[in-house]
Amino acid sequence: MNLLFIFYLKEVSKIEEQYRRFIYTTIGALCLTMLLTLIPVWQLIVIPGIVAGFFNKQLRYAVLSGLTGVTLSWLIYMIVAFATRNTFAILEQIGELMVGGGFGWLIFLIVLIIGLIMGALGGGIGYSISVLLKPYIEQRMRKPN
Amino acid sequence: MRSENKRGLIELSIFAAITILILTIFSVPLLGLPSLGNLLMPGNGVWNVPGEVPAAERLNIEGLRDEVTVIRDEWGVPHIYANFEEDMFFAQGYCHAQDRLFQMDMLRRQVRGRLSEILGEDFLSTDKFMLATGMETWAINTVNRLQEMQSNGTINLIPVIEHYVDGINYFINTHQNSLPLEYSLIGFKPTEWTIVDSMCIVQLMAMELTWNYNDLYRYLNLAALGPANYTELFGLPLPYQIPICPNYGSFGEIPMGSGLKVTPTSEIKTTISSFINAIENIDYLKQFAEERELEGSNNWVVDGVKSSTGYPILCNDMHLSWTMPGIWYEQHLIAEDTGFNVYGFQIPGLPLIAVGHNQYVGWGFTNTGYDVLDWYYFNTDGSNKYIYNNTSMDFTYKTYKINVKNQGILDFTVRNTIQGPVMSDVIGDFSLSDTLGDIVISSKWTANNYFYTLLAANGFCRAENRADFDNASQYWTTLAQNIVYGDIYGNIAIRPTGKVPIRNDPSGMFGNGTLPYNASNGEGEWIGYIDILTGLPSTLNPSQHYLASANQIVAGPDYTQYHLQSEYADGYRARRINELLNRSTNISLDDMKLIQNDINSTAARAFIPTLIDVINYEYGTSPPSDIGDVLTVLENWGYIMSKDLVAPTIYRKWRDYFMEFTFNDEFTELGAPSKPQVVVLEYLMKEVENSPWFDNISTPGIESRNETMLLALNATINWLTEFYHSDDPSSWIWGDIHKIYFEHLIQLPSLSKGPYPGDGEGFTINPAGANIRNGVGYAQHGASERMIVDFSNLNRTLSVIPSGQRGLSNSKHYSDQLEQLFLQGKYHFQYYANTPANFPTNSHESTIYFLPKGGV
Repeated sequence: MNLLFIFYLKEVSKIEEQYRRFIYTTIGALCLTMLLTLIPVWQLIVIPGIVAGFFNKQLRYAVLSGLTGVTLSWLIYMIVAFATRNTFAILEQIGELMVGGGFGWLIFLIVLIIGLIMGALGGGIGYSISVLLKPYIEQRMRKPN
Repeated sequence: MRSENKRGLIELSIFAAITILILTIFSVPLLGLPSLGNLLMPGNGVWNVPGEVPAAERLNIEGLRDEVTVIRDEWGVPHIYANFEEDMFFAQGYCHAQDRLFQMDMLRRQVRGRLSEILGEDFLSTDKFMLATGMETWAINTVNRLQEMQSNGTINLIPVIEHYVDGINYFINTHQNSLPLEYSLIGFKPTEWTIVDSMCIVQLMAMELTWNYNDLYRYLNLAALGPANYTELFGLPLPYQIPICPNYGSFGEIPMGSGLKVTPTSEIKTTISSFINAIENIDYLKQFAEERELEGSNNWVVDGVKSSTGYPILCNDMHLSWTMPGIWYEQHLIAEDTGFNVYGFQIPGLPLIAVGHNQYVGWGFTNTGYDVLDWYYFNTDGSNKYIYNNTSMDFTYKTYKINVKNQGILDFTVRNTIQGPVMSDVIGDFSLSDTLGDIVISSKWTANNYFYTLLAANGFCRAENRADFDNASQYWTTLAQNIVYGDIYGNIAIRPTGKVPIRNDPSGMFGNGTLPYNASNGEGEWIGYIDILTGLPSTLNPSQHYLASANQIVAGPDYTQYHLQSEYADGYRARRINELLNRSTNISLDDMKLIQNDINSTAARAFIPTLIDVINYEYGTSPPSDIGDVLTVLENWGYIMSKDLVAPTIYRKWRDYFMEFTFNDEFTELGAPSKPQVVVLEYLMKEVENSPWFDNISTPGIESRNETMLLALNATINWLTEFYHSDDPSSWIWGDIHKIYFEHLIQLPSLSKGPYPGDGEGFTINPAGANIRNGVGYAQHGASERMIVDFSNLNRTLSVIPSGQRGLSNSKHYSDQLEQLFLQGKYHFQYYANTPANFPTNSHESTIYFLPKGGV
């Protein structure tokens, strides 16, 4: 019974650790994404996801962390831009050029979905890299001083 | 390899592949737009477009002499308060760039042949053409000349332009990542602004207002119709003209003049036709070649005897292309050190004020139509020489470098004759050079010379009385304008001003500049220019107590010194303005608003009563029911071209058909390219009832005037019935077929405004000329600003522009004046407060403080 309880506690702490990692990496991805909006090279958006993914122990958390960080960050950024610079009017105009009148929301959604996908893919890449590097890292950590 | 590693590698490959795919898709330009990633992703493109001007902002700027306060009113109009003029012009440059940078950039690029650099090969022909005109060359030459004059103390203008340019560049350098949407859409960034760029914009306005191919079209008409017919239909002066300057006699209803001794040849006709056809194929240049119903402006001034205030009231609305943003930028400039205090309109990219008022005088423009451009044809003598005045001469060459997007730098060489650039070389791209044979066509234009337009504007802004203003007028050269004037002392005046060539064309036998000259025979040499102050007509304080111009003839028959105009307006707007001002007394600002927005058509009043008489005469009391219905509509019409009425639709369509049925048969058979002006048709209808032009030569019988008018009416009824899908005239609403449209600078529909149902027509004071020949017509020219200056209290002065102050499509000032004022015929006050403290607080929207870095 005791053994079972110890096993349970270990599992719970593992899950808690996963959650903690998830939350920290998501916040990290969110902040990094926010910083990267200062650099007008949009392709860099894959980086926050990679960083978040790298520090997660499970693929699903890695993906979720990159996705959430980037999407939330872009959502905040866009809401601020709508409120302060009336950027939604421009999305409406772009929407009208590409699709037709009244499709600004569609452009907004597309941008958000791209952020979501890039965050998720970045998370996946980061996790995969961590898996590949894991033996080397473990090896280095085991090396006696 | 461990299975975990193997799995990691596979996952990495899959994720990386999908990522690269998406990055690639969003990095590639699509559908004519730049890469969607660069355009739409946060931190890029649209997200960097600036918003509104902050409510309060402090800028520390190196080189400023003292603090400058820029207050923007509720329409976003900047009121610039400075202690020193140099700081004021810096702030003006900053504000222009802050609000209209993309527009300014496009204006300079047009003149400097740099459109293809950003828009690609499609604009190469336009670039070549613009460079060939020599506008950029003469802008550079003029800057050099002005700098020399500044160095030797003749003028003091260069510092004004330099500080203005510094203001623009300060904005450009500090906002490279915060640019208008268009920069992201096209994918380029603004480069440094120069004095030459500003001068190029003066040149562009000269082109907009004076460049045309009328001489060449007239030659084709003369060749097709023969001298007698040509003189009858295209001779000058036009009938029913009310001259701008009333002190040179009046014309009355005289027939048109004669006296040409030009015999067109088929070789020249073919050459000119090829040239014109090529020009009509270049998108940008089409506008100068195509038939336009409206090209003009209105201005008038009444003195204290006529006005309700006891002081002059001056009105101006300049008619130019409607664009988003509009061509004019409104501002108020105040500098303590010199007492500079001017409110008015300027084209972004230019310092000072073009049209407006200071605390003493006010002024406004309309186009004179002075003939300042001649076309010459030369026989060539081998590929490197041409014949001028029976002598063989070498062409000179100028090579330009054109940077074409995705192609690199191309060389473009223009041949020049003694008269000017060989414009027919430009059309070599259209494989038409062979058809031009051994002849080249060259243009001679007053803009191919030094120009001092900004010197004149500088003088206007500082004028304290009529003498000062006149003194400045002599520098107003390339943009020939009827400059109306009023002042606080009660004076009113008008001076059709510009640099007009005197031609060696005795008795006008070669057309006096109305036709191209044979330069190989030495015809039409320019032997001087008319002195602006002593040689051109002008009027000061006339006994009629008002002055008005609407692009009609500038002077009556008593002015015999020089030939001035080869083309001017039909005169319908001038007739209406004169009618209203002549019969009115005690004219108030509200009356002036009504006049500027007047849509009573004098053209309709000229034609429709005769049509009604003809219907009554031909059908008596029982016309066919469809004609009877139309007759009822017309008889109950007050000639108001309201968008909600049906009579304007019937009148306008009928007038088109009447013109077509009168002239199309002969003109088509003879190959004449353009029709006479509408006022000529009016003259024939009223004064030459049995004119053979009314007969349709393709039928065996002889149609009378009345028959042609009724045929046109039947065609009108049939066409409208089909177009509106109804034979009930009450459904033929004018606003359904006559629209007004404000198109974005690069024709982006979502950044354009309209179409809106439109009042008026090309001949009403409030103009909106549209071609409804093939269906719905879109008027894209009209009042580009309206201003009413009250010299009894300049704070009550009114103005409006048909867009908004800012060129940023996400700004509330992008189209606020258009939507809230202009379309309703409303105005805003100018707030002519002389200090920031006196500025009305409830109209105060934002303030920028420009502070000298390091303190004063």
